[in-house]
Amino acid sequence: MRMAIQGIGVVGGFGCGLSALTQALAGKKVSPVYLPVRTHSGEVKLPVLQAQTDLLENFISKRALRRVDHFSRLALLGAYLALQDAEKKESKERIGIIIATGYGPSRTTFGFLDSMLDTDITLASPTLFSNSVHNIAATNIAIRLGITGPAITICQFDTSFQSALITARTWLEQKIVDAVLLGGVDEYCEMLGYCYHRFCSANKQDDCTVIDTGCTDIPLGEGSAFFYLTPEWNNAKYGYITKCYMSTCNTKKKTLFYSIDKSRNFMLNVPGVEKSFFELYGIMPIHFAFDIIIALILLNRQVVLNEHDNEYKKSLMLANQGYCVELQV
Amino acid sequence: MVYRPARITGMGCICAPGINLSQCLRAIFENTAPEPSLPQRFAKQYVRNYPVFEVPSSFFEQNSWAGQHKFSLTARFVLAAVHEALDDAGYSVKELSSMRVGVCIGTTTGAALNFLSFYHAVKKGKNPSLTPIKRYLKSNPSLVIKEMLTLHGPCQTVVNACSSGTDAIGIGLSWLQADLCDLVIVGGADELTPIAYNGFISLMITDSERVKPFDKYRAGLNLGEGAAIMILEPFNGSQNRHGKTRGYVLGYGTANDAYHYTAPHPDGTGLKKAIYNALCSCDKKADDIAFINAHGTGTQDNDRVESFVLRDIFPETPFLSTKGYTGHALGAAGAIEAVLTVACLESGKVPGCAGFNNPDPDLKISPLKTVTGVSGHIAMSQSLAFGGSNSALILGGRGL
Amino acid sequence: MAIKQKLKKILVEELNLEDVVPEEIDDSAPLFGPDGLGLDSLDAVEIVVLVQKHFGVEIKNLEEGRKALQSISTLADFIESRSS
Repeated sequence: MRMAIQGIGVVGGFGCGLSALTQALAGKKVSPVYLPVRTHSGEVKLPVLQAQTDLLENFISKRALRRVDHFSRLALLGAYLALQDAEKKESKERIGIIIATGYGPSRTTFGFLDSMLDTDITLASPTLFSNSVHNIAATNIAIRLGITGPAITICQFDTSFQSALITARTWLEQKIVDAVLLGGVDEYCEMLGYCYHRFCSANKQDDCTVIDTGCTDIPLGEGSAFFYLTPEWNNAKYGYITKCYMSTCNTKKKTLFYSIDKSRNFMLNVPGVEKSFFELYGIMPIHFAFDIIIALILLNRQVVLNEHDNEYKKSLMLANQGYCVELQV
Repeated sequence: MVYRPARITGMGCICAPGINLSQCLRAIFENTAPEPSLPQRFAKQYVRNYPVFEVPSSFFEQNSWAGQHKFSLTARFVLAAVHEALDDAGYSVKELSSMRVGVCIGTTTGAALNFLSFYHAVKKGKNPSLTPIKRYLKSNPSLVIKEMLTLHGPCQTVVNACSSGTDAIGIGLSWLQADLCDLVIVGGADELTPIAYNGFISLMITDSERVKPFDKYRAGLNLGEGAAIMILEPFNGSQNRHGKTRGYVLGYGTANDAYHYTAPHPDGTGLKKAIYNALCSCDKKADDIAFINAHGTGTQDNDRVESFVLRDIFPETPFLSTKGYTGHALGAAGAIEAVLTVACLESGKVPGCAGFNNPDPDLKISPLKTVTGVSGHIAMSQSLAFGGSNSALILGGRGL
Repeated sequence: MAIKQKLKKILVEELNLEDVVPEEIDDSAPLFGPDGLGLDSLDAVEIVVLVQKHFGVEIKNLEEGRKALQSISTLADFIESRSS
């Protein structure tokens, strides 16, 4: 079964919304901020493509956001934008929520640890604890949007989103829901930056032989990428996900703290586009969700990258970490 | 849509009552399961006056996976349970490599950034070894199974808080229905950590004594840990080598309350819908259910809402909570309970609800107190979670 | 600062009640439910931690908490009775 893409909501270091990502793809400069990371030998600065969520206040009151952390705000904004874009008709009881995340709500997770460690263990914060569960973004979306269908969250580093696509299709195919709000979300926090810095500066024999960090000059990123998906018999606003499957190629791989292995992340049949697009949104585990949106922008002719563009007029294949996804317009 | 039943051809279980399924069942039915005690493995500054159900120390002495310190304890639990289940089903690792094998595992701590001592050291300006981070990156429960068994099918780690294990089994069922795999390894795994322990204490929902599910004097949960695994195969698939079927996963339903971060909806709307969906997904009625393995954490809210819903949909159906034996093993809980439920159908009896003594007049219903014979071949196991997830599995015995 | 004033400031800051001005909180208004501050069960356990953090007063269980956590007044009385 094909999944029809009816709405897109995207938030990242490039800005907010599909138009911001389209402009970045067309060449508008995306600039990182340099955030401090404290190490035993002093402070270092890491480039990060930070995502802003101020626009969320267009959708929701400040009061309702009082316990909503940055991770959930990224997800909520992506979800609101995707639903607005889709002009959905499905009943809220029949919408499923699937969230994919590489590391979950990392700021709040370490925030809770701070509350345990800083003064007295008896002052550990229940609010931070309950917000540090991985399904907090799905919870906030369900509560704020009143969606009472199934809601699940998937967390397995940089294959989270690819894996989530498979369950989204299963739910639609088996009519468990009429639509799926599928989103990837990751946030930057200092501790993730610290680990990245440590892996990148580690002695090759010591650490990098075990964990490939893919260290580059490209900034770390954060953001959310949401899709509103319905079964194929609806007309698709952006196109279709026609295939998504596991291939048996490259099953043996190193674990990556932040993956940016260009050889495994490319659009298979886009001549002249062997490049990856990390420069636009930054390195993060759910990058594949952003790549799908970029592929849709290319297929819908909103940006033409080079003279070969006729060759991928109708469909594109994306491959990453043993997962293959085919898009069609 | 109605699911084709999935055959359960192997099971494995590790939790406080025992380090394999038969040991767990013996301890539960012979009433020799240990009481909870204060955490033994935590650094003492993180231990407070609340007992937990830890996996017995014999695991570390007897199980070959226990010494694999490059993996987190959650990963070691799950690998041990997977191997128990594969042995039970009669599969060698080599045989699996030629099949389409999926993996779907529920967890909470197994995917969480819970490197407490590493973080503490960084905060204090030290330069700690990256070993805990490397261990975390190698230990994602579904990925580590896929890697260790060299599998090629779909692979998913479900992090739906306390319903994760139930959801992982339900997702596995839907994958078989969609013919995405020939066999799927499903279940849940979680280890006790000082983080979740202190988190639940901060929410004031832990009991300083043994948990008392559905009891008038219930005062909160005890945390537990472990892993449970089922090997699922298609109903009409070619028989596995031994042709053994221990039971069936028949149906699954899930729904979100869209109500609150930690509290269940007072009317149990999401739970009712999950149960209804689960029954419909296998074309069964409430009357078909012989007994229910409830979530029964022993917290005020959970047991009240769950009783309310059970009273409404299943006024006469016997029910129990097994958390008085296992503690609340979070992401593993739903899987442990599903495995125990199938084992009960297999043996034709259910244990009493450990920890329950005094009926609560407000709840108006009471769980089973003693070992009771089961008439019927279909049971339900349900989970409620932070974030408002409610999930239910309909399970069948082999006599079905 | 008087206990009540300090409590109001702490609740507004630590519970992120950005739309509430501390001075405008009525001493006797209910903390929970729609007729007062609109807090919930999760705020209740957070307040237990906040009271311990800022006043060194322990609320041992939710039974004890239920009586103390009615309003700013009842909470201030509870803190006063325990801190002497």
